[in-house]
Amino acid sequence: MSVGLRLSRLGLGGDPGRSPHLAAVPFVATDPGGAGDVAVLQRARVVQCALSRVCGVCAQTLDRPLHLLGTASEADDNAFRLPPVHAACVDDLLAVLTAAGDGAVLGHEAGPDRRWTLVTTGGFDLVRPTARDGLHLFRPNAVVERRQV
Amino acid sequence: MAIADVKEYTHLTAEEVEDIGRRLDELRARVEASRNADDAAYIHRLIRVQRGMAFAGRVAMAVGAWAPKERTAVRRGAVLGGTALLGVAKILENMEIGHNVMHGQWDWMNDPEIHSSTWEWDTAQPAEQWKHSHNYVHHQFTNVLGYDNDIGYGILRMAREQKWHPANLGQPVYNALLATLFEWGVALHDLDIERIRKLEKDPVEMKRQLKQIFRKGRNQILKDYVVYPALSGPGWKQTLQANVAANITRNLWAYVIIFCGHFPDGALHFTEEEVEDETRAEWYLRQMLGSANFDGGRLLHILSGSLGYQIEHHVFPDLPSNRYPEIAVEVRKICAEHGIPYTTGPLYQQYGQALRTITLLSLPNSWTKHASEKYGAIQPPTRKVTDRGRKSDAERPTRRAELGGWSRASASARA
Repeated sequence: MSVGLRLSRLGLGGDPGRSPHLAAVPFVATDPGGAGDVAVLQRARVVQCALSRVCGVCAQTLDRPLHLLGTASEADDNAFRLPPVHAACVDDLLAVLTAAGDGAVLGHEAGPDRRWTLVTTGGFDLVRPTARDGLHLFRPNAVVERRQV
Repeated sequence: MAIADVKEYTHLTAEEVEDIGRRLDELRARVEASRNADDAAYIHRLIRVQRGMAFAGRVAMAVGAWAPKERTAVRRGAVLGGTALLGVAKILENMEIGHNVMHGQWDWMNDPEIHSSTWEWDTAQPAEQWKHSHNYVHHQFTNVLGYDNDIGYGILRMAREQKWHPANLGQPVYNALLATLFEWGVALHDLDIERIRKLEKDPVEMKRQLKQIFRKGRNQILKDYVVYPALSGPGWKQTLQANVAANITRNLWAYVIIFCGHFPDGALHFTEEEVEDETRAEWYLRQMLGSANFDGGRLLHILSGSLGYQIEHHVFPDLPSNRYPEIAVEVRKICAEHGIPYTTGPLYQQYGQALRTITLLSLPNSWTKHASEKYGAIQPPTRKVTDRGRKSDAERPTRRAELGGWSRASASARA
């Protein structure tokens, strides 16, 4: 099932007019009204996903293990920008990320680093930003697997 | 008020605030790096003890139920012992195990069962709703009026800034009911009663949550009040009574412990309009100033779900609870060195203060002016507020009512 359909079923569909890439946006990019832009990560949603233990794509309770998707640099640094997602949501999230090409997407600035990497982990530590406009980061703490996707 | 206006905080320079943040970060890193097999052994051992107690309690009740009627002493002793064992088992399961597992404190073990995503606890509230109402709403917006539903659970007036209503006169009664039926109060917690009362709750989301609560509540009732009594044959009635007693014991204990976390004197409330742009150090400070500990031995702390270390729990909610005692030493030291209050005291004192607040705030503020400073009134800063580039109340935008809306998309998005 596509991310758009699943989000629609949950009443979480985004506003298609605001996103240049997709008809729907992952939960972590939606605002409190359910709309959003795939270029921007919603800080409040990031925190909600982290603390409520819900998936960054579909907003449903996570299962085990968790899946963190980010650039190879994020994987090297052990610090991901996107909250964990279900195994079944990885492809949907990847579709959103790759559709953006080199453009800004889900908190990643426009640029060439697009070697998307998937880390599977038992858990993560949430790192709150030290600066007011900083990013919350997800640090996997029980890595099971790492692979380029 | 915004954290920038809190007098317990205003004497700190920006550098001092950052120093507190840095030291707490270092402390966190040390504990994260040292999580080990001993920690894993602790939670495994605790779960074994808890399940052993629950099993022994059920067996004792069955012995009491099936014992010949003339063996009165055996029957009574077995049922009383069984009730006590089951009550303690439920307390351990809900507090030191369930609550902490659902925070993700043990996810690093990658254990298929002891994991925040899979744990379902022995109480009426569905785990999913707890992880939203507690892990997210309460821990992110700790003691922020209008955001944190734990401030009075939607039925008690717990801060002088909350508008008084004649219905508040009944607070001591509501409080007693909440304590006795705490499991069910918690079950309804994520529904956000206040939003329902104001007709602001999304009906679709409410229906979804009510279905979840109904299913979980029904299973709890079936287990404790139908299946186990039915297995007790002729002694069904005393097994039923024993289960009611065990659940009420757990309810009262959990209520007392939870109310000691944020309502004793010294734990501050905030009316901050915007908490999203806090730095990590400021977030740490708000958690420390809004929480209160209580003193006690190791057993008391374990039975309390380590919430006697409420300050440490709020600063590091996802670090293993068995490490809080060592963390507390450092946190207390940091508070002392920076002149920040570290609110603690004996359990009876902390609960007594919370109870006094509940009673006093059942009355209008004008009737309790004599107590205003000590019991919860927000005082203006006594010293000049240091400019750290952070907005204070006057500079902040109008409050956004986001509590209920943050669980799912709003009704308008569904339309």
